[in-house]
Amino acid sequence: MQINNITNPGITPVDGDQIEIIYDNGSIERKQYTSPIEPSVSTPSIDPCEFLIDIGTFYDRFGTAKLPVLISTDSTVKAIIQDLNIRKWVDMSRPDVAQGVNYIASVVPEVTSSLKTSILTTPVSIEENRALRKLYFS
Amino acid sequence: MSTFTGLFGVDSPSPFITNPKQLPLILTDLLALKTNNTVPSLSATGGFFTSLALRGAAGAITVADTYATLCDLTGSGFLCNVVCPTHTTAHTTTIRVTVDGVPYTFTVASVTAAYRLLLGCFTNTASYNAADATGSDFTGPNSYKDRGFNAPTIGGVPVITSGSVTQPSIMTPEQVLSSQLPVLRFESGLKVEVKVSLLSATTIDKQCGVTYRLDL
Repeated sequence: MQINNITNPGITPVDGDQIEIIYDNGSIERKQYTSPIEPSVSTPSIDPCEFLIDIGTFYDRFGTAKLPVLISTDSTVKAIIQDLNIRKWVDMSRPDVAQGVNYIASVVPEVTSSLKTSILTTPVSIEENRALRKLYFS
Repeated sequence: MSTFTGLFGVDSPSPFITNPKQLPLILTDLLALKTNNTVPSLSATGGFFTSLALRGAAGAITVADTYATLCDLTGSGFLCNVVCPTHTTAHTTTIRVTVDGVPYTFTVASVTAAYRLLLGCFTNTASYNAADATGSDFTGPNSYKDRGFNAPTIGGVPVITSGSVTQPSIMTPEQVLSSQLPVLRFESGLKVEVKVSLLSATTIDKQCGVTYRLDL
């Protein structure tokens, strides 16, 4: 492949110069030169909803322990639930979410250690935050 | 024109368009193309034309009502899209495509301010919201972001107005060819020229581009 600078013959082309590219198969391109963009290393895109979960599906993570949690008379558990209910989603990356679940597990026996770990460490699936994605991120 | 003996043992016409007047043609205020899997570039930014040039050529008009040559090719290949300049007031846009020595001219008068003429195929709309479940894949006809039949026309050319996160989007030539979307075939040469009746003072308005692929 041969590149000729038509605007400034013999000079390495810069953006805006008219160039002529002659390919080995005989094809010729005449166009304005544009600096090539170097291929970039692919980086994962940032998903703003990666750790966000809808309120309803967060409660569903408690499984059969959900109702015992909701009817708990412990004042701190009630306050945690109240605090959750006024939000648009639960951000699983927040430390106070883990603190809240840990406290609930300490007073509601149905929330076992393995259930608590499952609630806090299971990655949020698309189905678990579909509502907040549609409402707030589309 | 290529011919081949098909399933029925008879010669068939070429599957490619050789008359650019048979390609899709729209007016739109904002075009998109993807520069990464979830990264869009819009025609209101210079980066759009820089990226477009990776698969063709970009240029700019410099004088009102005077053709700017976007590309002058010798050889064979495919023309996919022509993205025209625009202006901040109503204007007339003209494309002249010379295919194998035969010129074809498109002129659209009374183009709405900020709208560009696009020749060639496009996706209905593109969702580039990274949080969308479908990522940045382009959407098909009648998808929930498709403008559908409400697009008015100017001079017989459909006008597609962009939405807040949805624009008509052009694809790379390799995607167009892979998806068997309409392309223009040239066998010996292609020249693409564009002009606008008024010269905008805004740099991005004057920029334009073309996507194509020469035979390997």
